[in-house]
Amino acid sequence: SYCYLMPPKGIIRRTPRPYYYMMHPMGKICRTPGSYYYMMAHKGKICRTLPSGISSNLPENVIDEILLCLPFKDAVRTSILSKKWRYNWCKLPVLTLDEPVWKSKKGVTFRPSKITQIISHILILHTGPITKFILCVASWTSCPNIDDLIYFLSRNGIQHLVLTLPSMDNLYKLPSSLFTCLQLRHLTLENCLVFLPPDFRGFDRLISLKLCDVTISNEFLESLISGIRSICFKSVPCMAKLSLSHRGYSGVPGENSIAKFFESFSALQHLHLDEDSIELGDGHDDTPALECLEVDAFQM
Amino acid sequence: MASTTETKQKKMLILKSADNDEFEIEESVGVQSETIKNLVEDGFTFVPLPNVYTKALIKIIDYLKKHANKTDSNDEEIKTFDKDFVNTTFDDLFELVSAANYLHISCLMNMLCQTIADRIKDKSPEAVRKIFHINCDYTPEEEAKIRKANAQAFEGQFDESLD
Repeated sequence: SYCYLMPPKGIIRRTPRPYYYMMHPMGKICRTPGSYYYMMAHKGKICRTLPSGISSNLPENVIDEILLCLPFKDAVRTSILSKKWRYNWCKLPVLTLDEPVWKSKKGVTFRPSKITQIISHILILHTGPITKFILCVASWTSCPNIDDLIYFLSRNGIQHLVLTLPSMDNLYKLPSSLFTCLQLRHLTLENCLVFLPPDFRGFDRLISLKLCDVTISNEFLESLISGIRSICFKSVPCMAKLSLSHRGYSGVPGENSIAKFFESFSALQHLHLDEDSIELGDGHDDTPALECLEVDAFQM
Repeated sequence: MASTTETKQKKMLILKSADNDEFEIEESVGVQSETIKNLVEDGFTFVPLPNVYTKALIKIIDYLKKHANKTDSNDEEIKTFDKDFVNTTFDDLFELVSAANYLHISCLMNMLCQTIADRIKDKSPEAVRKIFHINCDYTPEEEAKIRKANAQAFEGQFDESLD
């Protein structure tokens, strides 16, 4: 049978890959790149389970992968399978809480307060980072409180955030903790208010931004559009995709302001502008990497 | 297929399954597996795979051969192949996914995990337990408590079938 050996002296480790060493029956020593999960799951022994037993013994990372491919409710239901499975769904780094999650099978939709309560329940049980979070409550008439959620995400490594909130007269005002999500790479906001804290220095890692029916405070908008001063989206050097649509961008001061704004996106490749709300000045060809410009219902 | 390499000696590898069957494949086919690639980089041409049984290994070699010849024109053919590949029993899928995980073939891993997820979606916990061969170790009281804690996930009718 196989046994583990310490790495033989004299072998230069090029990279700290998790190799483990085993003695082949023929006496040869070979090294195999080991899977961390595999090692953990089998306590460092080589497992020779028969194929028939393999399904109840899937490596943890495989189970995680399968759960990630399931709709959220299906993933939660695996908690009932056995004690070992109980909290598997609580460590998934990607959470998609879209409309089906907030509807019962009978078609009853939850009240916003119930949604807040369910989100709290999920967050209390969650362990580990959440890199991607999608919340969609677009068809509600009022918005659940998500301040705690965003605060939680800001401390747990969020990189991809999608918030699709209800379209209503009093748009939801996003909490300032949004601006501490400094790992953000993709941000999509729909139907909300954004007030910029004065000390915000930008999302350094942001590469894609989608805003739809987002009202941004005047000061923020002016600084954003004129591309001056130090704040916000001006300092997104790797921004590759930008989409702006509908209200909230009217009243842009100055004819060329939008062009100036785009000067700061040297990596911009895809630009989507919607609904005659932005007056585009000359000079948007200052964005050398721009490959795709989509303009819907636009007045030039 | 390019014929330029035919005059050159193709580099070959031998893979040995857990049930001691040996398979000779081209190195270029094998290195789609990160595990094999690392061993090849370290100069190995004989690769024992103590976690991969012959039955799964034959299918995986088929997969690797097909995907090694991926071009723009045979996209549809590969899609059909993949669809056929995953059209098998749960137990076979579990064996394949364990092997793909051990061999670090990420595209195959993703495809198999997505297939398994699509097929257990909407099934009742009892059906999923049978499919995964899980023994429920909860007491009825514990089970009721967990159902209650996540009540909104457990309401409605579920599919009881095992295929």
